[in-house]
Amino acid sequence: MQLSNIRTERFQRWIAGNKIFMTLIVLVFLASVTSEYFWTWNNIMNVFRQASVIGMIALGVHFVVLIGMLDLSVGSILVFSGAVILWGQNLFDLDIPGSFFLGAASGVVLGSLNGLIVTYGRVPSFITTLGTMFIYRYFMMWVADAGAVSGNRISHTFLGHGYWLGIPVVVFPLILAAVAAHVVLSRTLLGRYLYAVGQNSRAAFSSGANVRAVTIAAFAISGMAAGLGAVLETSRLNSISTANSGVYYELDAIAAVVLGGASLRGGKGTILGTVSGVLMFSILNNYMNLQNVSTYLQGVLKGLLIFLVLYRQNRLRED
Amino acid sequence: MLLHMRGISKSFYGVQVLDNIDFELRPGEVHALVGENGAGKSTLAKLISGAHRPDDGYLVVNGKPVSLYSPIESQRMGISMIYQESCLVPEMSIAENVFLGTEPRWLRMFTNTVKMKRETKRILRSLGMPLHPNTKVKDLSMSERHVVAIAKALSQKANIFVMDEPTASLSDAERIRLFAMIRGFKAEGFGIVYITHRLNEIFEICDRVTVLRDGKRVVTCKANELTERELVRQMVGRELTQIFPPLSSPTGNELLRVENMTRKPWFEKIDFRLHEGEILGITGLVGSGTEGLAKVIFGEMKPESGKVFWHKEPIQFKTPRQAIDLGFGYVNRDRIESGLFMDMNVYRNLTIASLKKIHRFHMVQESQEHDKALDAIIQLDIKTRDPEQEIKFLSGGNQQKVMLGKWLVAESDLYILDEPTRGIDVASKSELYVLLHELVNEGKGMIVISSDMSELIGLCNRILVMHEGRIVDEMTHGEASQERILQSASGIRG
Repeated sequence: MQLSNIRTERFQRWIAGNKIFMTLIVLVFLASVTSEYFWTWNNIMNVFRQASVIGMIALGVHFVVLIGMLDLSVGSILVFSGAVILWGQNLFDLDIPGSFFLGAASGVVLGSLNGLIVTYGRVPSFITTLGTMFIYRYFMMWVADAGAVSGNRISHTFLGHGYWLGIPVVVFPLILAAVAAHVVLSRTLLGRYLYAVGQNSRAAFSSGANVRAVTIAAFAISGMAAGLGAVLETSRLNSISTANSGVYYELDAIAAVVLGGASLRGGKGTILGTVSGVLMFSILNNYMNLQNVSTYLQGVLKGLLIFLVLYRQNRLRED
Repeated sequence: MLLHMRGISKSFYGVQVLDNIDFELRPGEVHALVGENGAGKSTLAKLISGAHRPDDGYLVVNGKPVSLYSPIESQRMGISMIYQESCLVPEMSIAENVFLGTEPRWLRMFTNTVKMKRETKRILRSLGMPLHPNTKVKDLSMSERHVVAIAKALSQKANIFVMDEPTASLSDAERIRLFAMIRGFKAEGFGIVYITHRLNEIFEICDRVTVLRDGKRVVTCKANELTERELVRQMVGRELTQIFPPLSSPTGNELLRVENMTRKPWFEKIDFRLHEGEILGITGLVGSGTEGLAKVIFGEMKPESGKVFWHKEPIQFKTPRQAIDLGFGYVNRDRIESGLFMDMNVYRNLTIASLKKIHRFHMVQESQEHDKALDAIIQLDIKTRDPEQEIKFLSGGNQQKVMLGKWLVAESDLYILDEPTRGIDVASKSELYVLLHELVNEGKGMIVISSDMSELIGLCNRILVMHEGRIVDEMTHGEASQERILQSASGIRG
């Protein structure tokens, strides 16, 4: 076989494997043609800014979905870590790097706890994280009396509102995290084992993968992403509401991951897909706001979009 | 005549599985159906139960010719199939299982549970097993489940029973009880088609025997007219079809020693040694514990007791990872369930067990990975358009080669191969045998578990035969014969 043929074939396979990315490009094109405001620098930056928190969380949830499990606790971890970050700022006068460290650390702890229960307690991930979803949030509500936790450092809001090189600062952590996640999944041993466990955990076990460690790592990464998401979330208002922040974030994140082509049975899905899924939802919201569509109707259309895209994907997969 | 088959032929995808078979079942008769794996026993049973339709020939059941081939139709005509793994619903009670699908009705809407329980109780008592109809099936032992499956057949007014390996999961006492039940059926004039690998049972319970070989009927005769040896010869009766490379005379230092190893219910008190440059064959019938033995040696399961020595050093594995680090490689018998990653490309499937050797700071070195994988692809002649193609697009034989290639890449010293040539055509088999010989000539050790006797005889320096979890026979290459293996495996010898 000619080498050039193999190249063409690989390119075709890449296109086939990244259909959602192609769909995203088509969507952007259609939105730009039909709305004169859409394709402006400010608006595109808005799309990214709106996508930042869910995007960060979805990157983490992607790891858990990849091994065929679910993480429903990320919204609650976001609240928990958010409160920890703001208290940290108030008590120790932490700046932005300190906040990132605190968010990541608290997220890793809570996420690892999920992973330990799933592996050593042998509780299905859905039930484990359903339980911890309540525990993490209501614990914080109890501590904070169901109110908001506020920070007193104004510099923190630079992250949520500032610009650097004309780009919202909040977008940079998302890009960095996406690149890091992509590198971990496609280049490292952990990435290989994550795909292996997701596709066939028995075969992974007999090929020498430490299935338990891989599972715990996936949940820890998911928790860390939620903790980093909390840094971005708190930087907008410099406060977090233990009762109202992060509600439904876990479902938005799972929706974006699934829209991005990952299989809930595990073993399939790329970071490019998940990022495309997040941006697709963000663009949809943004575009419909520009067209004055009711927020409530937007939710209905979001649901329809999931059906539409996944129906098409499954049809294509069977062929 | 209860059942009458004439000139039955059946082929799948151009492969002739049954060729012009005649078969009949008289009232009050137990008719044994025997043959090697792949001789066509199960296909014939499926034809009787209506799961397949014959290409040619006809069936007459209870005097009526069969025109519609479906499981429901054959059930209506009085045929009942009792499978190895009986199809009962564990979460339902005995009575609900017995009448599943044929529940007595009450105003055509409600199930008449009182009648169901009464009838179930009556049938169970007649079978000499007075279980309570409300007991859930999941709480029953294997033999009790068998009785429930039989009761289900009786409740459907069947008078022809097809039993496929009914004693495979039964203890001796349970088997004796089953045989008493079968004798009761004979007295009532029912007919039983009895499929088995265990030849001694044929002489114990069966009236007539039909031997199948490669889809053809070899002989039908009274069971007491045959001796065991004759029966085995009738079953095997063919020359070796594969070409095996000449055996090198082994054998170097001791590589692996297993002492007194037990893991119930798979096997107990296993002892053997493996030397450098030696191919050791292990065989046995379904349920003899060979698969469990491989898993324990490889660290997938823990033994209850016993010792394993590797280069005379005692070893103990908690996970396969430790076995792999020492140089063990295990080709599983089930490549889809627990062998391959179907959505990964060929490279990654080949290197998944040796990632620890090709990384730097936990980053996979892809150029090294591709070099090593390509070596294996060339050595094994794996046919793939592009190694970055996902493995699900490869043929079964090539997938099997990738399973072996995984351990070539890992540079294993001990290969445990469970049914390594399953699904491979004859030509690739011969290539594979040559390769296995090259490996052992480099001083590696190999354990081949196979149910293909000609393969073991041609390939192995020594063969161990297991029966019901114990090693019952050991033979060298020169001593091995199909008759001896089959006799030992079915527990006749020794």
